[in-house]
Amino acid sequence: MILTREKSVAGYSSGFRSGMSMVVVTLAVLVLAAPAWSQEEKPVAPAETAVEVTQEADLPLLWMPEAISTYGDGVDWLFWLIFWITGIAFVVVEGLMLYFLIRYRHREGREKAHYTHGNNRLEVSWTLATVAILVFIGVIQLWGESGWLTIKDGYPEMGKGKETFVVRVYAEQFAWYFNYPGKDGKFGDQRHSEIEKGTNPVGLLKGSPGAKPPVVTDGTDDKVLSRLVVPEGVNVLLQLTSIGKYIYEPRSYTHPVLHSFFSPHLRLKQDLVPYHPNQLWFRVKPGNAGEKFEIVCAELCGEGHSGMRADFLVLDEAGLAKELGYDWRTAVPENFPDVVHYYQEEKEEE
Amino acid sequence: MSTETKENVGTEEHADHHEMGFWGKYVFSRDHKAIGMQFMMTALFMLFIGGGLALTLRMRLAAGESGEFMGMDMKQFGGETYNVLFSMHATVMIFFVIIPFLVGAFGNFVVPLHIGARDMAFPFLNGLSYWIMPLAGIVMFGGVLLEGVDAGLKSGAFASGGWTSYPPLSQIAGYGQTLWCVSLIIVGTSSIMGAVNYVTTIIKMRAPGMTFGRMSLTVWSVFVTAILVLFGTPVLTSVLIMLILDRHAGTTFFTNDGQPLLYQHLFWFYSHPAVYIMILPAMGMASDVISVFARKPIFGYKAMAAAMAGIAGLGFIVWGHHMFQSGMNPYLGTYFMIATMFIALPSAVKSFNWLGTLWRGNIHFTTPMLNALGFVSMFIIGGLSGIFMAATTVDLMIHDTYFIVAHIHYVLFGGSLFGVFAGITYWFPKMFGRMFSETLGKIHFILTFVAFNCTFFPMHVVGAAGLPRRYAAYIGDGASTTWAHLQPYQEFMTYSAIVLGLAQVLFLIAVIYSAIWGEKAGRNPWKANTLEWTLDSPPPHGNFHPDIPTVYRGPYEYNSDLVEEDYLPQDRNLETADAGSAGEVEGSSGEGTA
Repeated sequence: MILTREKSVAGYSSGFRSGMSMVVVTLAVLVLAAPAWSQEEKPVAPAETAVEVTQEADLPLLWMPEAISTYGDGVDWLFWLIFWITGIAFVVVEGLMLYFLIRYRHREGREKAHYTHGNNRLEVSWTLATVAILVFIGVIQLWGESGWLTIKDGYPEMGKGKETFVVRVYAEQFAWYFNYPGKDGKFGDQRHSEIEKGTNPVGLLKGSPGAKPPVVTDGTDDKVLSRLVVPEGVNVLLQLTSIGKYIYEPRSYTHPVLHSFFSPHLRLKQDLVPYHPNQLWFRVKPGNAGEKFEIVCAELCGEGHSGMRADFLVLDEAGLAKELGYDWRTAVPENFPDVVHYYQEEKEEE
Repeated sequence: MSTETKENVGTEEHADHHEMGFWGKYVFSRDHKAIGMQFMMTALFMLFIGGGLALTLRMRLAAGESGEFMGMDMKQFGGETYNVLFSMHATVMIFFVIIPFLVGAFGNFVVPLHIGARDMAFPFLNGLSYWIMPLAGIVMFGGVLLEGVDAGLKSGAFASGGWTSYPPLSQIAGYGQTLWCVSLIIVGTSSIMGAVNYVTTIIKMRAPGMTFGRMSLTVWSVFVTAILVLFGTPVLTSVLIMLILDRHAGTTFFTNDGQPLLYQHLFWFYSHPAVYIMILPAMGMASDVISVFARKPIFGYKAMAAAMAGIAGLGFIVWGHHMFQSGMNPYLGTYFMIATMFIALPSAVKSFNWLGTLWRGNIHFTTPMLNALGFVSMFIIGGLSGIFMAATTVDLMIHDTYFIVAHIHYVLFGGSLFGVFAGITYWFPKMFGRMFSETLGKIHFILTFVAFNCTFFPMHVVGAAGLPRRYAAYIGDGASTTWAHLQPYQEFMTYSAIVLGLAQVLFLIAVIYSAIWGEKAGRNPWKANTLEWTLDSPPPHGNFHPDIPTVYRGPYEYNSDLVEEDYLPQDRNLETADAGSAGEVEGSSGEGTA
C-alpha cells in the first residue's frame, strides 16, 4: 500500500497512514519484547574474593541498576521526573503531529488549507510555558540531599575525623588502585617517579622523614588494593588522581591521561585529571554490606579502556578490618588530608 | 537606487557565458550548483565509508565472547582498532558527511537560487572550499595510503582518541593524531571560506525586493550557520594548532604546567556551536519542505528565524554542559545547566511551529515530506533526551554512556540526515532535471525510519543502565560484569544497524536510477513559491536570464486568497507590470539592507 501512487497535485501518493501505523506497531513490539529478549542471558560473575561476599548486586533488566548511595534514589527520582515531563511532551507533540497528519492529509476534493501566518498569543504562551518547565527542571537539580551541589561540593559538610572513611583513588592505564591510609592514619606521599610495577604501583614514598628524596609522610604502612572496599552507612571521601610512569627496562610505560571514576550503583561519576586531583564523597545506604559492585572507567583512556575495571565491595566492620589489616576507626586522620598537587611537589625536587 | 545596488555587479562578468570545457564545467567549476553537487556526491560517498566503520564496530559489539558474528571473526577489531573505528566513524560523519551535506551541498545549491543571485559572491573561493576537502581527506587517511591498513594500525596512522581527541591521550597517540589535526584544520578552512561566501552573498546579493523578511528559512538557516562557523571555527583551528605544538614542539598547553581541561573548554567552544551547524540547515530545509507539502504558510515565520538566531547566540555560552563531570568547578556547571535549559527553548518553539504548519494544512505525503516529517519527529526525541543530559544531577549517571550515543544519533542521524534526505529528494528535480523515484524513496524512508529507531532507541535503555560508551566489549575476559546481561540488546541493535546500512545502499541506487531514468521534471514539479522553481531544471549557468527577478512577497504564500491556485510564486506581480510595484520594491528592499 505504500507503493500505490495516486496522481494528485504533483504526483504524490498517500500511503503514509498505513506506513506510520506499521512503524508504530513495530516500535511497540520492540519495546514490549525487549525485557523478554534480555532475559535470555543471565550474568555469570567470577567470584574470587578474599572476603566472603555473600551476594551479587541485583541486576535489573532495564533502566538503572539498584541505587546504593544515599543520594542515588534522589538522582533516580530526578531522572524519572524528567522522564515523565519529557514523556508527556513527547506523547502530546508526536500524538498531535500524527493526528494532524491523518486529519489534514490530502484527499480528492479537500478544501483549501487554512491560510495563516501564525498566532502571536499562542506562540508567546507556549514559549513561556516551555521556559517555566525548563527552568523548573534546572533549578531542582541543584539543592537538597541529592542536589548537584550536595553531591559534587558536599564533602566539606560531611563531618570530620572518625565519621569519614578516606580513600585515595589512583587511575593508570588501565587499572585502578585504592590507597588506604594504614595504621598511622596518614597517607604516604606519592611521586610518579617511585612507581614500581607490582611492589609500589602508585609510587608511595617509603622510609623515614629525612630520607632522600625527602619523605614527609611515610607510606610503608599504607594499604594499596586493586579494589575499593568501603563500610556502609559512613561517609566516604575519595581523593582521585591519574598517574603513570615510563619504565624503560623492561620497556613498559603508562601515561597520566584522563580517566573517569564511574560507579553506576552509586550514581556517581567524576573524571580524573592528571596533575589536578579532585574529591568526591558518598555514603552507602545501610543494608548493602556483603554486596559486590563494580567501578569502571568512563572516559576514553586508550586501548585497554574497556577492561579498566575494579571490584567495589561494601563490607561490614569485621570484613573491612580483615581486608585492610587494621581497624580503620582507630586509624583515622585527625584532620582531613589535603589533596596534594603531585606535580608541583615533583618540581620542587628538581 | 537601492534596487540597483542589489544587482549582482560582482558576478556579471562571471554570469556571461564563456565556453567551458568538460573540466571547467563539471570538475573545476565555479558554478555554485556544480560545486553544491560535488559536495553532495562527496558527502554521499563518505557516508558509506562512515557507515562501514559504524557497522564494523557494531558487529564487534554484537560478537560478544565468542568473537564471531555472522561467521566473521571480530576479535581483530578490539582494543586500539576499536578506538580507531569509532574515532574515524565520528570524524568522517561529522566533518566529511553532515557538514559538507548541509552547509556545502545545500548551502551552495540553494542559497543563490533562493535569494535570486546569479552565483555566490566569490565563485573562485567557493570552488576552492570544495577542492581543499579532498586534500583534507588525503591527509586524514594519509598514513593508511602510505602504509596500508594493517601496518597503519600498528604504527598509529589513525587517530584513536575519539572525535573529541582529549589530551593527554591525544598527545601521546601515534602520528595519525597529527594528521587528524591537520586534516581538520583544512576542513575548518574550507568551512570558513564557505561561510564568508554565504554571509557576503546573503547580505549583498539578494534580488530586488528580497528583504531579510522574505528570505526562505533555508537561507536564514545557512546565514545563521555561516555566522556560527565564522565565530567558532577559528577557535577549533587554534586549539588544534596548540595540540600539534604540544605534540611536536614541546609546549605544555594541555599537560604538566598546563591544563587538560583547557583543551576541553576550547574544543567545546567550537564544537557545541558546531552541533548547531550540523542541525540548523536541516531545520531550514525541513521548514521549507513542510510548508510546501502542507500547502500552507510556515507557522510563525519570524519566530522560526528568531529561534535560529537565538540558537546561534545561546550556542556560544553553553559549551560547559559537555564537561559536567570533567573536574570543572561544579558551580560553573550550575551556570551551564541553566543556560542549556534556555537553549532547549528555541528548539521547542521550532517544533511547535512545525506542528502549527501542519495544522489545518493539505498534507501531501511525498518522499521529501516523509523525510522532513521523519526529521521533525526524530528531532523531537533527540531534543527531549537532551534535557536529561543538561540536568547536571541526572548527568552523573548518563554522562559518557550510551544515552549520549542515542541522543547524538537522534539529532545527527534522525535529525540532520533525514533533513538531508528531505533536501536531496526535494531539490533532486532541480539538480538533475528528473524526479526522484517516489517508490524507491518511500521504501527507503520506511526502512530507514524503522531500522533507525530499532538501532538507536534501545541505546537510551542500555544507557540509562549506565552502559559506558567507547568500550570494545561488555562481555568476556577482563570486561566489566555489570552490563553483561545487556548483550542481547547489542545483537538486536547490530542487526538493525545492518538493515539501516542496506537501506542507504537502496538510497544510492535510487539516486543513480532517478538521475538516469527518472521521470522528466518540469520547472516547478512541487508547485512551490521560491525562485529556483521559476527556472529550467537544471538551471543554466548564471541562473537568472536575462534579468534578475523582482520579489514581491515572502516564500510561503500557499493557499492565499489572492489567487486561484494554491501557490503564489515570490516573483509574480499581481498588479500590472509597472503600477505600484516599483515603490513597493524600493521601500522594502531599503528596509532589508538597513
